[in-house]
Amino acid sequence: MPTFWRLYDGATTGLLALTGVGMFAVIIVNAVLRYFFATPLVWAEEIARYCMIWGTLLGVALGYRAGAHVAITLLTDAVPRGVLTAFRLVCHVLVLLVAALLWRSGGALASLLGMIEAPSSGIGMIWIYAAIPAGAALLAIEALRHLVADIGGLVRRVAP
Amino acid sequence: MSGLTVGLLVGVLLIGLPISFAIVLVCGVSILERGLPDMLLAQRLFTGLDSFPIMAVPLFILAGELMNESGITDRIIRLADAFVGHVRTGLCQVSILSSVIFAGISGSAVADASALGRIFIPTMEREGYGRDFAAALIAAAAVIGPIIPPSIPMIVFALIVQESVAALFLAGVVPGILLGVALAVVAYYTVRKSSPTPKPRARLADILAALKAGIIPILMPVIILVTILGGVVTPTEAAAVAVLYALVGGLFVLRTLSLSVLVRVFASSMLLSSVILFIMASANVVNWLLTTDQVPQRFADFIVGEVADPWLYLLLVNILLLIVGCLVEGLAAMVVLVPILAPIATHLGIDPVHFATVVVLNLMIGLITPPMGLCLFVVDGIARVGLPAIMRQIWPLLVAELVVLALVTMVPELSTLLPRLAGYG
Repeated sequence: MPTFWRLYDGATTGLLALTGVGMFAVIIVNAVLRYFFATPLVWAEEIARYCMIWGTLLGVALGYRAGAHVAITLLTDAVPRGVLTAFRLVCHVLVLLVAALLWRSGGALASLLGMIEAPSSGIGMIWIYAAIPAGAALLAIEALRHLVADIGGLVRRVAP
Repeated sequence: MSGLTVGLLVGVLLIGLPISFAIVLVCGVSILERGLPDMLLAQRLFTGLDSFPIMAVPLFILAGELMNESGITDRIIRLADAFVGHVRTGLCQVSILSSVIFAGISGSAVADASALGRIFIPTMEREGYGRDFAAALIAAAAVIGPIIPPSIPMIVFALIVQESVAALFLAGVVPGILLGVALAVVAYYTVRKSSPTPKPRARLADILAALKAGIIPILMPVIILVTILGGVVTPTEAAAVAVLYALVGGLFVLRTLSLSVLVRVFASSMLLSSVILFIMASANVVNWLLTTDQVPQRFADFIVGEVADPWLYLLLVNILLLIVGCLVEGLAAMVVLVPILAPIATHLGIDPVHFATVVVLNLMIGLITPPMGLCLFVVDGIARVGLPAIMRQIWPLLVAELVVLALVTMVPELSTLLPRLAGYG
């Protein structure tokens, strides 16, 4: 794999891990502060939630890279290899479509309601809503990578 | 939803588009078709995720993965072996008991099937059991995972109906143990003749040593339940405490975790959770679309008019969910169906905790029914014998679990007694 994509995969995976660390750290610190020192942080719950939301949208794209999403294999297990390749190609295109829908809808949400501030942390909601278009863009990148790889495989098989 | 959108949904699912993406695609098209504002799709997805209690899902997954990564699986197996290893069909019994103990650490059947399958399927084969039978047994035993607390589907259910997570966690204890006993009995009579000669009973010293080594994983469910029941923390915080416990145990007591492993485990747990959370978020969109069409309302009116007997209703719900569980992933089915089914149950006087247990148990059994049986996929990924071969071996175990489901449906006390004793409901 070219260096660029190795770095890209490493960076996105690291970012995903970071959202998990953030979510866990904020909750546990807040629980300790509340229980032992009776001084909970007002913004903790909100920030933890937003870490989870960013993590989920990132994870959706990385999950597509890893083939981790749940799909029905009733038919895909039964068809010959050529048909399966065709199915896969159609799926990648459909995922591009899904990414486009999310991009458009998430973008509309961010631009319409993004100026609102989160109630307890005061962060502009645009930073949180942005997770949806950002996740959509990453998902589109993964779908394109799959498409290129699958078409490349097809070309190699047809013209060895 | 129009016929066009339903057709589209079935089509894209069959060619292998992931379920969550298929739902987003169809809902997106449906929103455009109705001329509703663009942003509604994203907004409904967002509200499906933006909740503090839901965070218990990624955190419990993280705790389970950390525990697994720190090598406690071997300790659990050693512990189970010390207690039941000497029985005829010993290894089968060890795998079932390991599943029961493992269930107290992880809240997801898929995690159990993959962690225990990797170890037990090859070992059982070496002892002369068929690989197909080993895979079937592991898949069936993994169903116990989300029934015994902690449990991801119980958290999701509690969120949907605003029920207490602690009550639902407690409700699963007895049914989970019943599942273990039922599988143990059936496995015993199925492979008794072909099993190897039993090994001698473990000495007391060995049992004590195994208990000592297994104390870290065994204490985890105790900590989770005690902190939630004691009102010290919310379930989400209890999940964070479980993560902390797993971290401290793995880093300082067992010394099996390192920084590079931590990065990998945090990333892989978030990946796994995001798959689940995105299915839930997308189901939230479906839910909203169905509600705007007043489907739940009309369905409830119809059912309440036709069915007045709670037992008949429970029977019908069980049949419906068994069919749905074959075709749809359990959590997605729950997010869409529970808001429709639960109010009717309450209306008919069924205890919400009882109803929750029946629904969750039923849909988790759906994890081992084809074509959409996640646990079957996982064990077949390890055993590589094909789903039909596993299905031929799994049916007696499946029947045993259905018997437990029938018992839990007919005897509400099996699920409601523990929560009541703890002061819920």
